Amino acid sequence: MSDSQIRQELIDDGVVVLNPGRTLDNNNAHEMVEVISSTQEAGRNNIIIDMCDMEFISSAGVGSILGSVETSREAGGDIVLCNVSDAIMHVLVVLDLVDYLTIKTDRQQSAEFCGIPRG
Amino acid sequence: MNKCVQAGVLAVPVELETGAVEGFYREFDLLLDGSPELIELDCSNLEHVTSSHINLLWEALSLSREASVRLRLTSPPGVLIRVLKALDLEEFFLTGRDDDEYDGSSGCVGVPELTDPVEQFEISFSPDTDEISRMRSDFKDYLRQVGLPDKCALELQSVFYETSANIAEHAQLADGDRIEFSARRTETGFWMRFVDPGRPFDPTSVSLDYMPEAAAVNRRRRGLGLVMIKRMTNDIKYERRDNRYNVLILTKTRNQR
Repeated sequence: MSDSQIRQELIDDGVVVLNPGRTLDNNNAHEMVEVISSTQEAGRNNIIIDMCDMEFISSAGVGSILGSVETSREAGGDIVLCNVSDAIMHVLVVLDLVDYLTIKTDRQQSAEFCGIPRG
Repeated sequence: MNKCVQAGVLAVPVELETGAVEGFYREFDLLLDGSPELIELDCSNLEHVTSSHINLLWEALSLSREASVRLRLTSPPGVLIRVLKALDLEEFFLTGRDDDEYDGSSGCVGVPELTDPVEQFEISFSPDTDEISRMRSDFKDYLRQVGLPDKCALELQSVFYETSANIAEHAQLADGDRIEFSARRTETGFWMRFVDPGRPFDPTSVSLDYMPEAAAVNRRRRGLGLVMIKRMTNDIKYERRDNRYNVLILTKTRNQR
């Protein structure tokens, strides 16, 4: 079963970390779209999606991220995935999305990519 | 006369009333008349096996040998394998299979050969998202039990989830309608069947023009499920049965690499 709440954390002005929990599927993909949209509407276009707990992602889950990336990029930011497990990476590989999406090893790397200096 | 190179395929009837048996032999004779090199008997629907089934298979084998045509069982369920082994008929039906004829693209790499058939996995569930998630979790446990490699098990879980979600979305099932799902490991890989009483929906007829970057630029959030299903299986067959049920059979073959 999926977690019903997406955890949000503001780590710097304009950079938000989202953790969708163990699954990102039809149960919480709509919520993910809403959270990402409201974050972007608030002018925070650098969004890090921390997948450290994620065990399963469905097509709706992938779609909730994929459909939001361009909005961030057009505003000069990006959506960055990190702590992506082999299982989740496999789904992204099957969908040919690895080159298109920005994927970093961990939060630190993601934060640096978003312009937050180390330390 | 030159033999045809293609195989003839015939389903073994589940219920063996007189008419069904006669119909089977009639179709079998027609296949033999076409002088194929091989006849494949599709056993995927056999949920139970009786002595009549064994007699029918034995008769089919005898007829095919007389005509110098090879006979092969496809997707034999665990129960059939066990009965054939118990009757010492294994060497006639289950050996000398040309598994390397199967396409290994998107197959399960590293799946060990089936030596100890595991019971078929069968569930019936309502088409709501919570229930589908719960069933995926049960299916995941079954896949672990049958010892599939992680990546293959993940793909099968994904196929289960996406297909169920597609049915829930497109079949317009009435209150109380349920999706029936069966799955099992076979000698050649893995077999799954979905049956639902919804409106006709043939996912194999949907053309996929999937381009990852275009999907992103167009803010596409939907339609990725079919891409996953098609890329994570080797074969999908759809049938509208009795003008009432959608039957979808998906197979994933064991990769020979």
